[in-house]
Amino acid sequence: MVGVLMRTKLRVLRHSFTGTRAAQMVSGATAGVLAAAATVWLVLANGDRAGDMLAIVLASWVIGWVVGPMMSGTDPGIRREHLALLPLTHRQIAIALFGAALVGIGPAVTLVALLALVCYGAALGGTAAAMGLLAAVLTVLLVVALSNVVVTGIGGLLHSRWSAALAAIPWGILICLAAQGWVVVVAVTGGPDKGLPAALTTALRAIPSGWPLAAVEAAGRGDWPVAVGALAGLVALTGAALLVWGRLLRRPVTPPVIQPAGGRDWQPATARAAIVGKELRTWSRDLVRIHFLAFALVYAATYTLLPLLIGSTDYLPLTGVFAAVLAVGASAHLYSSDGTALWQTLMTPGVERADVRGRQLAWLLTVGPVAALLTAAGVVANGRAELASWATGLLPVVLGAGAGLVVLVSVHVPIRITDPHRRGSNPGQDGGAIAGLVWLAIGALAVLSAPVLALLGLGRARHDQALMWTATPAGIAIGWMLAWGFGRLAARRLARSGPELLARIGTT
Amino acid sequence: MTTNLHPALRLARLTKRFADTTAVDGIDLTVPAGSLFGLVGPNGAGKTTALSMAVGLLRPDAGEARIFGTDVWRDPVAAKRLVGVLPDGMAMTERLTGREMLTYLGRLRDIPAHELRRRVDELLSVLELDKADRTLLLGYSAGMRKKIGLATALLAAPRLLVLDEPFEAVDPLSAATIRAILRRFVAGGGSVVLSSHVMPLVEQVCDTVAVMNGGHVVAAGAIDEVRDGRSLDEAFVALVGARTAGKEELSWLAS
Repeated sequence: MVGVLMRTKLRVLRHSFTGTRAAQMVSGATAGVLAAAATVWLVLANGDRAGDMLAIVLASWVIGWVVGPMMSGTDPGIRREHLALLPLTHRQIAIALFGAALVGIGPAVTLVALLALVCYGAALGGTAAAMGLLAAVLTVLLVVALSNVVVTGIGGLLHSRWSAALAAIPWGILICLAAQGWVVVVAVTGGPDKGLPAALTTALRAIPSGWPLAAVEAAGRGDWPVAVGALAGLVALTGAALLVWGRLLRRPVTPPVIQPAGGRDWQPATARAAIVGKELRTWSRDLVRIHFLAFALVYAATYTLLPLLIGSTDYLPLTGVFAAVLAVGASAHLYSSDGTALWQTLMTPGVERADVRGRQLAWLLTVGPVAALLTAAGVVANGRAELASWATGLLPVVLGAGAGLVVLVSVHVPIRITDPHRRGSNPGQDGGAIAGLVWLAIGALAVLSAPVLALLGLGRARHDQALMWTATPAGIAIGWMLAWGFGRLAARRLARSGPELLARIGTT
Repeated sequence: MTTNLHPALRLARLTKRFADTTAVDGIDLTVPAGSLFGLVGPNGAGKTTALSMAVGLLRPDAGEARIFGTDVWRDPVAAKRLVGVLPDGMAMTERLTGREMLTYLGRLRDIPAHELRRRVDELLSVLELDKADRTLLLGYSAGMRKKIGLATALLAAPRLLVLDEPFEAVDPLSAATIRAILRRFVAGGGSVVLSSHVMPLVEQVCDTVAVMNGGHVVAAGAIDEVRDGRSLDEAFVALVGARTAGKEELSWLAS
């Protein structure tokens, strides 16, 4: 069964290598190969500190595997639902799906990256290098199993608005720590040049992500009980993960449906009000959307609170800006997320402009107040006028450009996501492969905010407070123009190429 | 009204290719105004593709579609004012309740508030969806989805209804209700095009019929002409060609 599914997955991958999917796969593979090359380079370039660097990088790869799918969505290709009618136990299904999950770009790239263990081992002797190869393979098995346990487990946890929001907390914190871990390192070690403290290097080898490294190093010094023990630990943990996965698969896959409150007397006055009302209801009832928004907030808060560890409150005023930036990334597939429901818009004569404007307004009403509140709180907590001007200059341009980008990007770069009525509410499986769009939107935001950033940077360089404050009206003006202009372009695109968009989104 | 001079729907040389398959191959079809028109054909015949092109959801590679004389692809806004559509298997605004979705779509169509409320109440009640007032569409059964889809198509009181498989997954009682609604719609001057696999049902409901096979229209006309003294089922099999399993095929099923 495992062999059959692995071959099927390979075929699925080959067949899905078309159009946007192929572009996504190529860009994902390229990013993965670069990350893998960087991992190997870290080992080769770091001499006597290579082991410690590798310990940190291994932890990052494991964290990436555990949290990645929750944030960017994946399409597993073969789903448990496909196997529901086969006479197999849940454990057998877990093992079969495990085999299928091992076939893909992610596991292949990870294996390449983990060959850094072989490079590291080679410096310690032939046996250590061989041990490195074995450890690399076992680690790939472990991360794939863990990743699937997390995705399946979270799917079971998301059954209400609160659980969807709360489930974002650990991921927001973990990913932010992975990106901003240096703050913790600096806080603990007192500076970048001092190397890691012994307690930390030991801890990094004691946690499961460090076991492959521990095995290689133990083999290098001939400490066989530790080497074999570390490998056995990897195998045991993978086995345990598969057992848990089998248990989690017993849960039904039907999506949870929120019970709406009231709504009987909803009588919107205009077409635009109807669309705003529809969108606001969707934002508050779609567990995947709630999860992504909560993630944006948690990530932004962690990002700006973390520097408090080294006594800096300088990031606090920007909490709202960061939250808004991440919310733009999480909404860049706005039209695709509705799936083929787009037909209802296309069949309503002349509604395209109202649809785009209504969606923009609803997005602003959802993200704007929270971002403004976070900004105000951060400015007050920090108390420095100079930093406040950064926040008040950047927030309007990010919100305005964001309101433009979420519609413009999503009508130009449609992605295929399983239709809402055919999928569950698991962001790990049903959120769609949105990672590329997230980066596209965030990159575009950076470019569009450049004039405001230039004013702020120039003002700072010249110690000219007045110049820095001109960034605020400039931010409002540019933000408004971008929201208006991008919305116009999106509406025109929708009116001209609506059927093409539907054809590319459609999965039926 | 000048539109009455035209057929309800006219497809001319309509063509759609996907990769190396021609799903619809230059079909011509005329749906007379005031008719209840059945489009039948085996799976993969091109019915859904043809209907999608006819209403403006899928751009044809060649040919044209006119609703009461208005070109769907040259003047889509005017054409879409005349038609109500029920596509097969597509998503809807899933995070709204049925009532909310009808209110939302009615508002987009500029139906006055009091009239909209009356239509929504009546549609939900006639289609027996009024008890599901607190259920999001996401939680609807397949049959309920068909019924709310039909309500959506009827809401703006169009002159032509285009319904893709309206009876699929619908229970017999609801099917009877839908049949009654369609007959009443036609009696009131409306026109209906529906696709179906269920021949007895098409025989019961429709007065005109077209048979599609392999992207072509292989027969079209008044239902009695197409039947030619047989049941529609028999006529269909004769037109499309049936394949029955030989003795040696599937022999393992008996073991």
